[in-house]
Formats: sequence, structure tokens, C-alpha cells
Amino acid sequence: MTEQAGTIDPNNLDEEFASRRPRYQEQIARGIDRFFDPRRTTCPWCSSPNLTTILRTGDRNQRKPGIFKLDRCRTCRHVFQNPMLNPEGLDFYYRDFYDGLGRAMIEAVFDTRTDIYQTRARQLAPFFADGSGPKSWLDIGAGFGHFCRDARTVWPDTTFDGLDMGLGVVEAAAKGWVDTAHRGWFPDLAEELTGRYDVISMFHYLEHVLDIRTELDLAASVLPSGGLLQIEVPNPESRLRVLRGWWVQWFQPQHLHFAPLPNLLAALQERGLRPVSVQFAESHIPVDITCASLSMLGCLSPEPRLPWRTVSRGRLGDAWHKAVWWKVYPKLLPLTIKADAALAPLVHRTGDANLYRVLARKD
Amino acid sequence: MTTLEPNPTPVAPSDEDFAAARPWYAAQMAAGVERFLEPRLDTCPWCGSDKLRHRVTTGDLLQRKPGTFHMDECRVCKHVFQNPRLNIDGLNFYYRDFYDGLGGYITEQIFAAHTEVYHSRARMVTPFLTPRHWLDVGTGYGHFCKDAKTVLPDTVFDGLDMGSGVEDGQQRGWLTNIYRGQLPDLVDEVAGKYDVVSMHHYLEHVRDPRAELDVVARIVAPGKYLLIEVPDPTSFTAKMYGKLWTPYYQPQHQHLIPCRNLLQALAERGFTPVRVQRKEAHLPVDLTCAVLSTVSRISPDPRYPWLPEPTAADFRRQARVWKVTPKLLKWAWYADQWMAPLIKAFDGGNAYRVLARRNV
Repeated sequence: MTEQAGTIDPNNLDEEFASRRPRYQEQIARGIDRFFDPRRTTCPWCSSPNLTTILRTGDRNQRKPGIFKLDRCRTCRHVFQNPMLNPEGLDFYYRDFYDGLGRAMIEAVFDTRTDIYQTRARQLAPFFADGSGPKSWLDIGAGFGHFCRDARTVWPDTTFDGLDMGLGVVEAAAKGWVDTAHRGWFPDLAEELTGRYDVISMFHYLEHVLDIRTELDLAASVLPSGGLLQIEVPNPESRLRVLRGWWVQWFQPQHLHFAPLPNLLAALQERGLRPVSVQFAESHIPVDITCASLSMLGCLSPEPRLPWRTVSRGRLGDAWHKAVWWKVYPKLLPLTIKADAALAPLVHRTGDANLYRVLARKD
Repeated sequence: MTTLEPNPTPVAPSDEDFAAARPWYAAQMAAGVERFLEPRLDTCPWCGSDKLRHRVTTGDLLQRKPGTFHMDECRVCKHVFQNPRLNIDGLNFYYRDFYDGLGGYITEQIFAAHTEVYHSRARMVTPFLTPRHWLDVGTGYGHFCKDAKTVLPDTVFDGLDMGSGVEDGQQRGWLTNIYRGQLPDLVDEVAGKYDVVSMHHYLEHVRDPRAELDVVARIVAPGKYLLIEVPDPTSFTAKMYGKLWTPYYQPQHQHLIPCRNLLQALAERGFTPVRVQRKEAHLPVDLTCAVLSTVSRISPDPRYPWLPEPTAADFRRQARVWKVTPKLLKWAWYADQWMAPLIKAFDGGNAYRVLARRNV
């Protein structure tokens, strides 16, 4: 969300943390209520006034201050952040997550998910039975271009372009992971992209945007007829939501809208995008317990240097942090990974995947 | 669609009327009724999912015309639809002599018995506006408009329908202006003229409800209202009655839309739903209609021109069955009224109503 440079000096982390402190502290001191729009009394998806609050949580990713609430519409089961963050709020909470302090970690996570990216690319295989693959593919919300990097091994003849508002996509172009980088907001760039792509993909993108329907309108107008739109989003109907605020898919404060499958399918159909393939089990990423325990540890013992922290724990806090992250975490991690793996087959059977993936073709 | 001239006062058709209709039906049925069906869909027409579940298979529950009909349910979005659906010829065949012609007399009696429901529909809009011009789409004979005048005495009610009933309605003074035909063909004549456009038990009859909503979005001006009432396929009553559940209404009903889907479709077209009613829209007729449907299965009116030439035995059987039927119907009707509060409290009812305002 910010213009600030994406890289930090890893040898001088103390300095990096400290240099950000004044700005964060100043913003927090001015009050964080201003980061929110007024609370909605009707569902943004179907206008029903039948809302119920299903979750009240803090920032479980970065421990920035603030309370976020998710409401579910009792009529259409759409889930959304209410009150919702405004652009200033989004800027505050995204900062140092995909860039700055958070970048190294998030890149390391993305870097290891090759198998997932290839599974996504292979969802198109039945539609290119001769093995030729699509000619040109635009990945919206491309991040650092990891998907494009790995999807190439599945579709070697395809041109992969990336669109993102962060700097990462430009760097990906320099590395050759994406062929052309489009930096900015999709709504601003849609016009010049019209008709240029056979396939548009949106992985973990729609849950971040302010208005899903507008994005789908644009995708429908950018695609030529016969073009494919691939979408992957969290499944708000998954029973894994019993993890409550610790469930990684709620991902507060970044995720704003959670469309249940029937709602998204109907919205696609409305735009002449006919769903041709829906994947639940194949899109499940078995990390729910691991991420929940990471969040819990992060809550139990946050990084003492975080520039948005308003209280300091002193020397005892430092020791506690070291003990949790050097002693407990390494022992816990293998256990949670095993637990997630053990849970996966069950999740596949009951249709409770934490994500779902839809492929739709424009008529 | 009609075989008779408009009749301002309802008159039961004579035996000669029935006999006169016979050659047309004989010719239609000789060519086979399978031709009335389109190819079966293997995806949901609402959301495109291929997870379909068979819900009911029935014959003609209303008139016992020949033919078998299937309704499927989408397991993803819960949309219920006739699959395979009827083509235009099929709709003409099965609608003929139901709302007008030979069946008009009976159908009208049923329409006339719903004053309470009609009042409650009219009352739904009063907190939001006092309409001056109201268009009722799929108005039939205009019974709703007649009764709604009690609630809204200063409102001018116009009616639109494809059947000859609208002409009767106008002659009886229930409808001020009438439009006869299909809504999409009449857009230019009605667009922007009305404070409220209502569609009561209309959308479930059309072949493509979304296309119909596209049309109505052109008719309702910004700030004006759209009132829709349709059966609720997610109602518990559907499970109680199985294929005898009135809203399956085969072969006429093409699409039964769950409330959440309809609200989304309205939101997509720039409508803001301002009020949803479930209890108030419940039509307490399920048991009565189930009895009627069963009776007409055991012993349909032998004069029906789509049945084989009646014999004396058919008439005797009809006479025997109708000795007990009136009593049965009376009990069923009381039972329906008695169950209605329970159903409303427990489930909401077999239909729902949405009032939506066109966004400015």
C-alpha cells in the first residue's frame, strides 16, 4: 500500500525497527478510530438488514492496535468486516506486511509453495487438452510473482504477466518471473488490458478488495469471449472456522469480504462467466492449526521491537520472547504440521476445505 | 392462449364447451407430448454448478394433462427448477384452459378466496409510500387490485397479463389500464410510469427470471419500488408434502428461487431490498391443494378434453368421489388455517415477499 522501498537491511534490524517507531507512534496517538468507515446496518452483498457479528478480534498477524469485527448476513451468509477499514486504515495495517519489516518472512512463505501454484495452473488442463496452454495469462494480485514463476513449468508456452499495487511485481519482471509487470489498481488499468489475455487469475485477491462485484465486472469486460477467469478465495462456510480469531483465513484486518461459493457462482453467472470447474479439496492448504498456533505464540510473546507497540516489557520481556521462540516454537512446529496433515483427509471428505477455487469461462 | 371471449361475469363452461375443445387437444397429443420438453440441463441455470439433486417427479398435478415433469435442486445454491423445462409449445399446451377458457371459472374462485393475503401485500408498501400508480404484472383477473383498493383507496391499479383475464378485470372495474401480452414486449409502454410494480407469484412461471428482472429494472424508475412474492423452495412445508407441495405446481412453475438468491439478483440490478416478509406471505392452502390434486388424480373431471372420451362409469366414479370430496376439502381448509400459525412460527411459511427500492 505504500511507496516505501520494499527491502530492508537484514544486518541492521534494530535500526530498521527503531526508525519506523516515530511514524507509527504518531499515527496511533492520533487515534485509530479514524481508520474505519461508519458501521453498515445492511449486508453489502444482498442488502438484508439481518446481520449477526460472528467474530471480534485484534490484529492477529502483526499485533497492531485495533479491534476488528466480522459480520455474517443471516440471509445470504456473506461475511464482511464491519465497520470496514477505509483507505487510510488499510494503508496503516498493510504497511510492513508485504513490504518493509514483513517482506522477508512473507517472501519466504510464498517461495516454498511451488506445489500449490502448479496445482492451480493445472486446473486449466482439461480446457487445453492438446497441451498447448493459454497464450497469455494475467495474474491479478501477483505479489512477488511466485505463482507466475512456478506456473511456467506447467504451461511453458504461455506469457505470464502480473498485476499488483506493490513493488514486488516490478522486481519479479526484472527477475524474469513475470513477462510484463503492471503496477497499480486493477480498476485503473482495466481499460488498457482489455482483450489482451486468455486467462485472468485472482488468487487470494477478491477477499482484499473493497467491492468484489466491481472487480468481477471489470474481469468480465477485460476477458475476450471464451476467456477463462480463475478465482481462489477463503471458504467462509468451512467448519475450520471454529478456530475463531485464530483461523488464518479470517486474516484480520486485511480480509474485508468473504463470499460463500453459491454467491460467487451466481455473481459470475450474472456477468456471463459460466463456472466450468469448482475445486474444494484440491485448493485446501493444510496450515490452519500451524498458523493458529503461530498466532497464539505471537500473541503470547510479541516481538519486543515492533514499532507499533505502545508498552515495553523491558529485559524480562526480551528473555520471555527468546524462550518462547527459541525453545517452544521449534518443538511445537513439527507437531502442528503433523496435526494439519492428519486433519487434511477429513477436511477433504467433509467439504470443509479452507479455500475454494472456481474456473469460469466467458460465453 | 384463449378459446373463449372475455366474460365479465364468471360463467361455468358447458359440456358443449368441453366437447368443442377436444379436436385441438387430440391433434396436439397425437404428435406426442415429449416434444414439449427441451434437452435436460446438467448444470444449474442460476449458479452454473453441476451438483444437481433430483427433487420430485410428477405428472400434471393441476389438470392431469399427459406428461411427466421433473424438478431438480442445485445443491450449491438451492435453486429449484423444472428439468428438462417446457418449450414455448409446451407452455401453450399446459397453460391452455387453466387461467382462462375451460379452467378460468375454477381458477377465479380460488383467486377470489385470498382477500386477506391481498390486503397484506398492499400493506407492505404503506410504511414507505402511498403509491398513486401501481402496476400489477401477472395480474390474472385483477383480484389483487380489487382487494388492494380497500387498503389503498386513492391508488390507480393497472394490470398486465398475457391471458384474457385482464380484459375481464377491466370490464369489472378492478383494473384501470390494462396491458395484454408479455412484459418484455411492453417495456416502452410501462417504463417509468409507476410508483410500485408488483409481481405476485409471477417470477416462478417465467423461463428466465434473471432476464425478467433485467426488464423490470428498466421499468422501475430510480426511487420507485418493486414488490415480488414467490414460493420459498427452502420451506419446511416442502418436506411435509413431498411432490404434493402446492408450489411445485407442475407443469407451470419453472423456477423456485430461494430468498438469498433473489436478493442478490436484485442487488446486482441496482435494487435495495427494504423489506422481506416470510410469515405474512404464507399461503395456508397446502393441504387443501394436496387433497384437490389427489382427488383430481383419482377421478379427474371426465369431460376434460385431453382425457379419453368419457364413459358412463367415469361419471359414476366422479359422482362417488365428489360425495366425500367437499367434506374433505372443508376439513383440509380448516386444518390449513389451524396449522398456519404453527408453520409461521416454526418455519416462516411456503412463500416470501420482497419490497425493493430502485437505487437513485
